[in-house]
Amino acid sequence: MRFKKLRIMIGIALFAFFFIVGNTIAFGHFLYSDNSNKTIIDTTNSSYALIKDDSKVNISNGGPRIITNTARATSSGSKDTQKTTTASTTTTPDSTPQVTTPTPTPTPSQTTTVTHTRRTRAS
Amino acid sequence: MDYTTKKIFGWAFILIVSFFPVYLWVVYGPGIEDLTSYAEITHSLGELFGLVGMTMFALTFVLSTRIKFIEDIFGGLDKVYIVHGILGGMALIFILFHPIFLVLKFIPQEINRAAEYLLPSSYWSVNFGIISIIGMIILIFITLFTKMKYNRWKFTHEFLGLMFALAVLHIFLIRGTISQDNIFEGYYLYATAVSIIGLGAFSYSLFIKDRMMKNAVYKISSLNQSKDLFEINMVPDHKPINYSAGQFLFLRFYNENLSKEAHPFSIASKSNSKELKVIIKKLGDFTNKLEHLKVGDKVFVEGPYGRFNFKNYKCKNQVWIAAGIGITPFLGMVEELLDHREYSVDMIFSAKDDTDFVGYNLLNDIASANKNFKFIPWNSSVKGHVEIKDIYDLAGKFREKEFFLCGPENFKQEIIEKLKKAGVKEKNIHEEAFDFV
Repeated sequence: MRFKKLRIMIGIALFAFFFIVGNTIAFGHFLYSDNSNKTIIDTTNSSYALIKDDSKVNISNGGPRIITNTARATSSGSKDTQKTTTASTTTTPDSTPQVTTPTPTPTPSQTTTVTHTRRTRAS
Repeated sequence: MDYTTKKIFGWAFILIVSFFPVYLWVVYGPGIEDLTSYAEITHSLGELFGLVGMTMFALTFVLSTRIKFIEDIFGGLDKVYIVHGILGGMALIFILFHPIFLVLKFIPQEINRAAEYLLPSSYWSVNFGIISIIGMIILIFITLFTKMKYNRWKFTHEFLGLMFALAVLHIFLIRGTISQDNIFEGYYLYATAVSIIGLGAFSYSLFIKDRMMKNAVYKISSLNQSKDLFEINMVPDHKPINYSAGQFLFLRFYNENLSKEAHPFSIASKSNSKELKVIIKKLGDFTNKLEHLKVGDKVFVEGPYGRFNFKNYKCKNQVWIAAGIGITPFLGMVEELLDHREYSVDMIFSAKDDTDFVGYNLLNDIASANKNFKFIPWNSSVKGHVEIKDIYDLAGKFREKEFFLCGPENFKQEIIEKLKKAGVKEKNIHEEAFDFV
């Protein structure tokens, strides 16, 4: 049989693909039940917490910030925290960092748009 | 430069071109030192796997254009199709890991986001990518893991061009919608080049090649059928093609009972013989229908292709090993040995049964007429597999000898392994692939 090793490699890759994609969709889409009322907020400027909207957190006076995945990865108070942005800034990823205002919980797709904001070396 | 060295250069070129996006990312993009988080590492890997996979995907179309200079690089069209198959498989693997790496950063904390990322949405830029990957999986699975009629397989295989076109839409539209980071400067220029190469090569193969190529028209002059074999002799309608014994052709028979797609067959006649001969064994749906052919039927000939000929190598001490219908490319070469007595050839022809020795009389006659040609018919049901000792008994020392092999894939691979273990260098082993998949 020709391409024996290639067939095995493709078989493994397909298994990995369907395993990861299948489980992700199963757990993330069909079994995830508490999506709508969770908000990612930064209450301490140095970490993040998942809390439910019905916990009545006081978000007036500019307070707790909604953070994105990028900020979350570097939210321990470093230079990159300036990239922190809300879902409303998604169309201008390289714009000046904005002061976050309380906004409704970002939908998954909105959040995705701001996740990968990075500057190129040239810029 | 021998074909082994050329093949190494060919593969090196393909891999350099395929991994060019990595170079662009390092030099004109964020580069490795800017990867400060797990999310950025997996995200960058996802983007790069996608671009490398797309480049490989585009190159597979270039390899299937049957352009002569590509054949020269890899030592024959049969080898080019093998490279095409390997590259297509590699492209699929890279493309499969593209979405996996992109969603890894969400797993497990935000698995709902990961799921949203993988499912169709209102963003058509993403949907094009999803359809393209699913299509690729199905079409490559059909090619590698199923058996279907050649014409149906060919029809399905052509849809890979559509999948590539959808992937092109994905890589262009995705930047303006979902992913707005600048992977490297000149991204659109690179994406345009890959798209033009891939779509251009695919369009050439599907729509232009047949019109540009002046296929030689032949007519069947005589037909012989015995047991499960067809011997078809053809004469040119106008201008004959130039070919060498051992090469192969794509033939399209014009007969109401046969499908119109072209099939590859080895030439069994001497180089540039006036009468072109092919010997075909009934092995599948198409070859079973060849009994409907008639003398006078038109045949469109595309080619010749391949580099399987003893005169392509300087070494004049050669060992030829054939099995079953794999004898056909050797038949024309054996005839030609009468005009090239400076070549000393020892041949083993393995067949399952005494009645399966195609061209036995011709081989015997030439062995009688040419003392530099030795021929041993090997009945494998009586003598078992051809062993290295049997080859040694016939041919003597292996040093400075060229080995030519043609036959079923398992037979060839077994002999090649044995020869390598016996110290024969890969560059001295020349094989002809019968099936490309």
